[in-house]
Amino acid sequence: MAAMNGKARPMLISLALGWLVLMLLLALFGGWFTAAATHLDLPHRLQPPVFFGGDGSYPLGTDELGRGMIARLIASIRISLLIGFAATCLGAAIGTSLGFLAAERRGWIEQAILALVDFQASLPFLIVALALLAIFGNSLGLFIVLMSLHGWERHARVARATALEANAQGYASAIRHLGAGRWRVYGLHILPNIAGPLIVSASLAFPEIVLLESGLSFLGLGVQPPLTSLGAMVGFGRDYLDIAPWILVQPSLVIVLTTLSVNLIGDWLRDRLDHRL
Amino acid sequence: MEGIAVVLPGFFCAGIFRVMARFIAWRLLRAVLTVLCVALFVAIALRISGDPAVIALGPDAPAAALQAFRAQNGLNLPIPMQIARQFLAMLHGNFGVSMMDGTQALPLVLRHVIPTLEIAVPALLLKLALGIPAGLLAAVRQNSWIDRLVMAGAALGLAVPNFVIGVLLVIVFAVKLGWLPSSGQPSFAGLLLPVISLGLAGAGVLARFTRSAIVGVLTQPHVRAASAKGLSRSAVLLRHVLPNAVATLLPVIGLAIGGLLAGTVVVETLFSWPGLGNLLVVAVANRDVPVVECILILSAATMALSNLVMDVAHAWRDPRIVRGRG
Repeated sequence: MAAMNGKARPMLISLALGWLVLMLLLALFGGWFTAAATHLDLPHRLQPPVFFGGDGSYPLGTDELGRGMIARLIASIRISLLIGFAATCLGAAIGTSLGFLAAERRGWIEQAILALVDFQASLPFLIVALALLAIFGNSLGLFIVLMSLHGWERHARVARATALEANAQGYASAIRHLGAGRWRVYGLHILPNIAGPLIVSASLAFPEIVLLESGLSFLGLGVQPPLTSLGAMVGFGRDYLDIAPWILVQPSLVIVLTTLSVNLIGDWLRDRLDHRL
Repeated sequence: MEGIAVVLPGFFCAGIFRVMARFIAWRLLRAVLTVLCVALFVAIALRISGDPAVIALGPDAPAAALQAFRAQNGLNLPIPMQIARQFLAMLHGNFGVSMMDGTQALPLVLRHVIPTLEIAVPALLLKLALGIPAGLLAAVRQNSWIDRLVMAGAALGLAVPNFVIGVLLVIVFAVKLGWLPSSGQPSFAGLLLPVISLGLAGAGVLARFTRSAIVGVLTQPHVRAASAKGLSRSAVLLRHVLPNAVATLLPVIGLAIGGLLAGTVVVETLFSWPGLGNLLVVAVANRDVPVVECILILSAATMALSNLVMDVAHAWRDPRIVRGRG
């Protein structure tokens, strides 16, 4: 949070970036492990990892069905990050479009969108998500859409405010007078100019969505077996809390390190890109 | 609200009370509207999701039974009429029957409110008792090691999900040390772990907000003037900084109070605490819509009420906002 000047990147930010790159690589290229993630090795169930006194045949241990923890973790990271990214992008797209619409049309459309923003902001989102899950049931696609509803109101607010500012500046009206249509003005000119605040807003939404997903999956109401996610691993690991704590400690650690990294990088970006938030 | 700003000079002769009464009435209307919107939202989502008769009786129900169910529950009426009927029933406290055990949803939900408050209220107090002093200390000693420690703790508090805090506490205090029970006894010892997990999770965010609110006030000219006229540091803090920072903090505290009923879902499940959160998770897993709807409306009403009270408190602390924005 300290004022950052010059180009020097603090050590902590480099570490956080490194962790995120590792997670991203695991998510992108971890596909080979998906078979291993469901491979049962029952004689070797509940093997402790090396640092819990294991023998090293499974470096991070095995779970209650003898599945290797490394493969399980990678499969979980893939799903958790997929949901996090997809929902953040979808939420940003929805929120930004509505924000632009409000800035362009003004009048009652703007008032309706602002009322919707207030409405969303005044509700505990976890309860809304649970209610929608009860009503619509659950599938991966539906779950991603549901998660994208979290945080769209912040994107909408930021997009509207910054687009109004941009509209008041010379370049937007110059392009309009040159005859550009609305799509061109917003997509090609205003959007790139206000990308900073939008990225910051997305960097706030992403860790919140990861935490929300892991919470719901922990409750058994999010990602459903045979798919797995970090929160679901913690939830299933609860039953083996006393005899095999590594089942639940390792995914917890991955969740914490990932959200912490994104938060740190987000704070750092905010200092550089935007002082409004 | 533009209207009030324009009419205001005239009202000033009549007194601030009339303006205040208008402000409160307007906010009350908004709170009621929010709750109505939630009910409407659920009703629409339910209609989109499928035929309520099929959902209630199952996909294999005979056509005659479906017809009878529709006639009995007014599902043959036009949809706006159905929704109006449902609202009327809700106003009479009739939220429908739980699909799990056939009892009325509202009494079932209300029975679970007290256990939730038993952990949520102490957790809120813990959150305030930890977060506000920590934020204050960090703001006053800006860029010292205390500040760094508090901000690092707050960053960690934002990143660690409350179920992880809860699970770690269980491993240490229940499994390894055996000092405290790991699940749902309604006793003082049983309360401790859920309350601590909930309180710690929220304290970090509150410390961050407190710090930035106080730092914001500290840089203002009136604070410098107070120091310049020779007031002691503690007098400046107590009389000039804190009262101004409280105005910024009220909405955050309001959100925390409004989220009391909703915030305990994960922790209650973790500790098998017999409260609202536990009921909600079971109801969602069984797709017991009447119970879920009842809990949703109850927590939306809590949130709306808390926002209303905080808005009025804010306006009372800082009458400018009555005039400024609606």
